[in-house]
Amino acid sequence: MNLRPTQSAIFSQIQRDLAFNLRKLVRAQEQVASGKRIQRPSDDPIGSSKAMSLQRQISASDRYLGAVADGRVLLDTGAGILQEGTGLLADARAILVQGLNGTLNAQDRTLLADEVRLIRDRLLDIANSKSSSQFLFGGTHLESNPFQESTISGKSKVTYVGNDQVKSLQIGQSSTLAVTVAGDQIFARDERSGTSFTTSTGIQSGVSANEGTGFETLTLRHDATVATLSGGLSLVNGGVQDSILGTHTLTVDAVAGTVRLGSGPALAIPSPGSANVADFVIADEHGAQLHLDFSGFTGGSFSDSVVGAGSISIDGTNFVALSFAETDLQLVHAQSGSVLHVDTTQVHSAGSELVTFQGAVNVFDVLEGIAGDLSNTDGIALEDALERLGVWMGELDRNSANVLSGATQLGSRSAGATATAERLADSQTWMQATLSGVEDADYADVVLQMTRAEQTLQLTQATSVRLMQNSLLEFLR
Amino acid sequence: MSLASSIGLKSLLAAQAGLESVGHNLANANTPGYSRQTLYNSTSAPIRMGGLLRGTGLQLGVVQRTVDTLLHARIARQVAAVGRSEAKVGALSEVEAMLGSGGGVPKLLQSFFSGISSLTSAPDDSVLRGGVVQGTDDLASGLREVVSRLDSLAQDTLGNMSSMVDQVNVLADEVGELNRRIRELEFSSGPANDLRDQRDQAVLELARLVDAQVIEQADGVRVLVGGHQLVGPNSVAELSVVSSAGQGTAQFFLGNTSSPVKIAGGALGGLNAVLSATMPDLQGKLDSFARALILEANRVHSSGVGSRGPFQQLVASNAVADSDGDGNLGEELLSKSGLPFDVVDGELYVTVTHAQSGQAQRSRIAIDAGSTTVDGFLQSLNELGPISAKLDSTGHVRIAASAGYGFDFGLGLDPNPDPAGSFGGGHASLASSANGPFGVSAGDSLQLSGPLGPFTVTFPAGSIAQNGQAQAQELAAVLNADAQFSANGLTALALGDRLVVQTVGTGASNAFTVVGGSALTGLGWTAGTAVAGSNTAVDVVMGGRYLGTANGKLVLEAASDGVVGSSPSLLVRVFDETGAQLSEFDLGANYVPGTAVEVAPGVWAKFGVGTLSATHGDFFSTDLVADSDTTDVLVALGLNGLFVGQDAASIAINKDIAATPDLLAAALSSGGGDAQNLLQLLALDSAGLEELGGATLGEGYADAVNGLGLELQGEGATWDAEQFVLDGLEARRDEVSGVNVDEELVRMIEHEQAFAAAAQFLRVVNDLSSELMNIL
Repeated sequence: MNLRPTQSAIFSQIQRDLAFNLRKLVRAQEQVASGKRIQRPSDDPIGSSKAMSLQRQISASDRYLGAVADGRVLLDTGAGILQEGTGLLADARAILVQGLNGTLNAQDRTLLADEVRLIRDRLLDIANSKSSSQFLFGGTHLESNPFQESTISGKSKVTYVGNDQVKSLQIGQSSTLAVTVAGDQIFARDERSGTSFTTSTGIQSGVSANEGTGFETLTLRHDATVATLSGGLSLVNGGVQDSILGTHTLTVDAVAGTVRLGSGPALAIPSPGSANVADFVIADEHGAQLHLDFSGFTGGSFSDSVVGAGSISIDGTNFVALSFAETDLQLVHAQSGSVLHVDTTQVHSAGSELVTFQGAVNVFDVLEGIAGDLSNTDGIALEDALERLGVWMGELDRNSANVLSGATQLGSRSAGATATAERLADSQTWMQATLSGVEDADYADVVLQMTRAEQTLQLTQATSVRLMQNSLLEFLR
Repeated sequence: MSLASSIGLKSLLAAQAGLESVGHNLANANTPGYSRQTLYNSTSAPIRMGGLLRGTGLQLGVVQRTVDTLLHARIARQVAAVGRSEAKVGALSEVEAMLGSGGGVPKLLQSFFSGISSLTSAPDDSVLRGGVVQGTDDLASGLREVVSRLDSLAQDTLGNMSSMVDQVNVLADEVGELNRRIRELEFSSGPANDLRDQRDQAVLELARLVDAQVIEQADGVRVLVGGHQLVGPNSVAELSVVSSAGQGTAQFFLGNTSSPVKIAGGALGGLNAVLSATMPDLQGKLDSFARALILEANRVHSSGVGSRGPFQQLVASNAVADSDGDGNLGEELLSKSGLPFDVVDGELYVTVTHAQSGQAQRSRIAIDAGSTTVDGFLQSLNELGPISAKLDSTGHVRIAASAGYGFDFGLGLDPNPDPAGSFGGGHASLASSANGPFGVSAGDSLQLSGPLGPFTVTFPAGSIAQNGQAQAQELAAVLNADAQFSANGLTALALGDRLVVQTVGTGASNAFTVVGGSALTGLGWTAGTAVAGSNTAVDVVMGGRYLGTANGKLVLEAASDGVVGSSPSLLVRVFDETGAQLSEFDLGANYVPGTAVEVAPGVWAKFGVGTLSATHGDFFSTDLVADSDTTDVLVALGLNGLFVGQDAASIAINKDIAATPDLLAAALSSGGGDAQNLLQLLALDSAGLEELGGATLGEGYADAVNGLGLELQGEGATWDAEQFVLDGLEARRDEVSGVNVDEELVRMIEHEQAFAAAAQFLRVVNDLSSELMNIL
């Protein structure tokens, strides 16, 4: 309380009061003009700290949303492509079923084989597909196509040169989204469970374990026929056209007039003068053939032992002679690295044998194998070809399941990503709202403050004038 | 009659003087620092006249100013406090404005991470890579900009302080001058009221600038600053300011004193507080932020691989300094060679790749902070073979790979962990049953039998450093040097810590026998052991990504003899580097050769058809790397870093990466689409960093900005409070010393009436005199 007010004290007080109220007005106006309650950290350091923290979170959330968007593009593209792949494989299966129909002729089968090859080429294309510059199914491999074609032993094979890494994007503070599946898991999944041999030549798996992927074709070659024939029988051309391998028994029954090889069908002995007397073909129960020359046949019943000498090759070029007593002969393919152990004791004829590493044939090799056997590139008998097609069916189904599961995986991840995006967007909205609450000026409140400050200012100005005017000077005229 | 006249005359003069005093007050009603003056009259001494003591009227007294000196001293102190707060608020507001309310760097930091996030989906995209390079450069230059602005602000503040010091000196001179004039005037006349008012005002202006202690003495006013005399009754000292080393602190010196004067209050004190405490504190926080960013980002980046794959050459960005001043840089300890970041005990894994074949060899270099020198480190690198490492003339480490090779510090798994074929390989291979050192001494011998027949190799004196503790390398060296040994087509290797004797050729036809010798027991071999090769090798292939968090070593040992995939039971045991068994699996009949078996978290191994033999000690080991540089030597030297520099003023993007965005290490292993290292960099956004006391990068910077905001807010509140007190004191002063115009006008009327009365009195006296004259 001022006991002795002086003019200068009054004037100073008035000046201070006016400045005070004007400051409040200016402050309110500042908030209205910028829309922000906090112009600088010192206005409200705690609030400013909260606001900066929220801004960091919103910025991080933007990043995650961007990553989810990028990821969804990859996932959806991949899933779409694999759906197409599933369709292609279904078509291939239908063609295979058709091919198994025994009533088709070679020409029809060749047409089917061409269709299968087209499907394989298309599938290879989509397995090597890219999204912008990234291979979708190559892991993190970028330099070349992840699925490469090459020719091994005259057969076209596909190998996976990508890697098993999965591309991940960060979609949360500690969560990542895997946006690819490695190509080998879809098109070349290794679920090996053993080897399977077809049965056209009688060769079997040996004692030791086998190692390899895909399939190998064993070529058993007939080199010579060794036999001491009774009854004036002789071999034709030294046995070059024969396909028997191993020891077979030739039984001639003069009484019944039949000749049979092993347990094969007993055929009537050709009479002299018949067309095939000099080159009579007889086959055993497995179809192994022996050519006999009956022109010097003197008659009689006897049993002779006929031995077919042969050799085996895994790669079609290097042959190893067989003794037909091997139980664990090791064959190594230098190019593909496959190691096979075979038992030759039951080998009965020459030919081509398909050895598949079950669960380890990739879908392209399966399709190539199907096409090859439909067009009979190995030159095998129809039953053998049908047997092989049966083997391919199993592998084709296995691969189709993998492709479908790949498509499902990518699809469900995409759905999950969508859900994450929605969640992120929701939480971002909440954060924006909180940020606004902390940072933004409450217009109603601020306008009220402004009005009040303005009123107070005007009142102060009015009363100040009154105060300043009252002086003794007014009355001393 | 004359008495009455003199009384009347004195009244007139007194009334006149009173009026003049009132007029003086009215004129100076609004003069700052003016204290109202009052004329104090007293009655004059009575005289004895005619037996009576008669009054003689009034006598002029003294014009006194009404002032409260204690209040003045208090006001001086308060003015200093207000001046201090005001100056502090001003300077802090400038710093805050300079920081841009944090809008600059935090946004740049977020853009940096956004760019990296976009790159993860397409790591080979050159546009996105360019974006990351730009974001990194912007962040680094943003930080440098803030520091440079802080620097110039400090310079400006110093300039301000300098001109304030000049002002102080001017005011001090004024006070000194007034001291002299007041003393001179008051010697002859009465109180020099107006000059005293001027002096008081000057003292207050001085107090606003420095916290002055004012002592009013008879011979003048003494002003003390920081305990030392600035203005004395007869002398004035000069205040000066000296700034140390560019920016930082400023020191004040008074006159010729050698020790600095402490100024804590007034505007100078306020500015000094900001200059010597707030700004260095902020600089320190910015430096911590920059260092944390450089250290953590480089830690992640240095173990990564760019899209061009392994490096041909790397040059360190930090130079080794000659800390002991002897001119020899190589012998400095790595940990004490003036590098900006610490090097600690640990290991560094270097992978050397042969470009054409793709074969990779990983080696481990151990570093001990207390004993590894720069030369020692370079030597370990050179021992890797196709690597040459040296220190160039400017103290930077240079590492180069020979033609056809490349090197990196990546985490990729070695896909062929058994190049020597000691685990069921094609060679005839015999390994010692356990790790060295072995109980073999000089003079012991080993008797073997090869294709050329039996022979003996003796370990000569000097070949084994410690008898009974022979190292595998020592034994292998002796064996390989023996002519008969190599003539028989044999070779000896030290793999890990085991000794392995092998035939050079592979295949079942290669064989040798251990016949005997005194070294057998030490190596764990039995006499008569025949070892033969095999046509098929187990060919171990490893893959996957190691998910563990600590570096380790994996040792796989055959626990029985047999053929992979065929024998009824063929056990293999997995051990870690301490020898503890981690797992055991069966490669026998139930195993399909080529199937993957998990041997460590995230790591699988495939085994092909071949034979394993526990009696021949078949084993192999491989490193599992979670962190390829636990010593931080790469960060300290600045090899393959993303940033260079060591604080906020020097942080910059590695210029090699800026020029060639392909060098940005997005991958952790080869494979152009690998973005694992980018994910690691992204993790830095939310990781609590040790260098920032557990705060994340964003939090650390925000703390610096908001800390300043808090200080400013607090100082603003202090200013308001101090100003309020000052206002109160000044109001009180006004109460005492201020001019109330109405009061003066009343007094004016008072004096006017007194003058009129005295004039009337004199008229009457005059009339009386005239009457007297008339009688005569």
